[in-house]
Amino acid sequence: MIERDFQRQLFDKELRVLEQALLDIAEGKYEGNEFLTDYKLIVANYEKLLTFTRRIFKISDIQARNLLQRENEIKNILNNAGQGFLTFGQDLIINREYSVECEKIFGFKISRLNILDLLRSADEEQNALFAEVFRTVLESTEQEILQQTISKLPKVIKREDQYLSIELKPIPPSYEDDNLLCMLILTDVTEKHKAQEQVAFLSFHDKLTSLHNRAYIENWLEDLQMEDTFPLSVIMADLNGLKLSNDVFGHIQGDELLIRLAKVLLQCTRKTDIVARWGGDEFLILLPSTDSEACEKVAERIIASCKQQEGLPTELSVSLGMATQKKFTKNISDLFGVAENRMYSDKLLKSKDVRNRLILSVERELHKRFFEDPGHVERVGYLAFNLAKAAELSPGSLDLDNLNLMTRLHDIGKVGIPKEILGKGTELTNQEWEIMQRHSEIGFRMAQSIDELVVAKAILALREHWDGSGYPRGLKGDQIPVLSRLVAIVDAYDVMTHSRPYRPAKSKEEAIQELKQGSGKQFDPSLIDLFISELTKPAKGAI
Amino acid sequence: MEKLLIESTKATPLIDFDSDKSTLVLKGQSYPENAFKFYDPVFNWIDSYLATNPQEIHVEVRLSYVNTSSSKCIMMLLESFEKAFQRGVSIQLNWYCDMENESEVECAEEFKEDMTFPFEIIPEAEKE
Repeated sequence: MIERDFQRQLFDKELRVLEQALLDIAEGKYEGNEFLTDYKLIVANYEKLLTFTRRIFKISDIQARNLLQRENEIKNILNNAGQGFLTFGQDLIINREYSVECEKIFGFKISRLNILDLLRSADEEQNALFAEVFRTVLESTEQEILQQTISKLPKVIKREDQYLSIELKPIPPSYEDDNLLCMLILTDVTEKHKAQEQVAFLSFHDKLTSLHNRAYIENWLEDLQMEDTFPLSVIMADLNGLKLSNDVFGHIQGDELLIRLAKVLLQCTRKTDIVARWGGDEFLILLPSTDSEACEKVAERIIASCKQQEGLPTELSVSLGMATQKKFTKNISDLFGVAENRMYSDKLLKSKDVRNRLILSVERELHKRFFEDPGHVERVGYLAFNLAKAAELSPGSLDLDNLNLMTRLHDIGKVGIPKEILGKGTELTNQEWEIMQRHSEIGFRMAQSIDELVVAKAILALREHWDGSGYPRGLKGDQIPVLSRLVAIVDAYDVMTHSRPYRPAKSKEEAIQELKQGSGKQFDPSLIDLFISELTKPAKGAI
Repeated sequence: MEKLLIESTKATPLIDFDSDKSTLVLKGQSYPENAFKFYDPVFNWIDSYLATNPQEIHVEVRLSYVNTSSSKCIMMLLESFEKAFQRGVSIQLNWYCDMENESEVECAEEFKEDMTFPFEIIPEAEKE
């Protein structure tokens, strides 16, 4: 509301002149003057003019304020709708007012630009379509033609790296003197579009390796196979040692093996071949128009390429099974079965070699991560072998291969324990000790994953005590495998007599003293006696 | 006497003056380029109509926007009604407003000032 005082101030000078004139007339100042009648008329009209003017000023101010408020309210709505609104008329020139989202989308001011120039892309067909649709919409008044024409426009257009959804709305004139306008509503749907593409990609691809997935193969089998794809060869590939790699090196490294194998498979095949992750550690390659000989060569290339791969925690190793269908058939699931069986046979043949390579990789990791000096495993192996010999353990009860493997892998589970706990100089907290104790079970699982069941059980029982006070299961006496009892003694002795970053080495005598104290409690008393006697034997060849 | 009917445009209001029914209707927005040119026939019609000494006049106004020049013209119209009222013509003016738009009511009140004939400001919804 505009204050009366304000109006009074605004016209103060004029009002004072008027008031003085009215006073003069009332007081008869110009009585008898020949111009008095005219003067009175002028004053009366001046009063009227002033009244009109004051009121019109006020009305004008109120309306201007109202218009600006409404403009702001409308702008707020349009500018915060997250959509670009713009209008243009017959001349195709974009009108001055548009929502700010337009500037965000295009990155510059768009008023007075030609709409066709603004939307122009490398797609000439699309450019021509815009021109035709806009012209028709601006010229036609028939609803049906309008709708048909508008429906020709694409729902989404690509502009540089953006995807824009577009909607065209004709705005009919509200008054006779108005022109038809077109409103274009633009929405940046780049993120949504990418997400949809991703969903479409993932429905037929494996996320990790970006290869095709099982669904794609099944789809191909149903819809895409044609007679000219035969002879069709199939290679079933299985990545060796993935489980162990995941357990020992972590899932990121395991994933790296899968990714690398996927790359190898792609490199060794043609663009027309289909390489898919069949599931877990299995891959499937479909080789259209490929006979068994050519398929064999692809397999050889894969094996050779795997051997050349570097920078992985373990050597890339794959078992392969091939099968070829010479003539067209709709049902080729048997072919997959044959390839799969052959792949398992290959896996069996390679198993020992694969296992040895995996064990070597695990040992390397163990030395890298664990705080033992590199000679620890060697010394434990030597001491264990001699103690076993002294104990005259029969080959039946203690396989030397297992003893060798046990000494190499007895600490394997520690790769699963955080370094901060393994290398902690001070006493472990209860919680840390609980985590530390898990290494027996981790080691057990790892040895199991390379099918070394005897060693796996020995690792699990390595921290059991003769008197039943050990972990994880509280076994006692003969319940503890002899392999565990034996390695527990030599391991403890070697650890005591060699320094660690957080404590100095003990002397041989001090270590023997500790072993004696642990006899019948932590350690097997008869093996302790034998071990100490071997240690203290003066003769050459003693431990 | 002939009716005066001027259809509304984007910038000018509907003028529907019917002497038979004694009703005068102004409805729309008023911001013509030349207000006087637009309102001149309206003034003439009113002058002629008032010269017929009508007994009563019913005026309905619904103006959402009136520019400065048009405001002057509307005031001149109101002044004519005021003079007729002073002469004894029964005048009833209903000025419809969007009551949620405070400024419309303010403007209506400003137009009403100094008028002594019945000038009622009515919320738009009540009209229907």
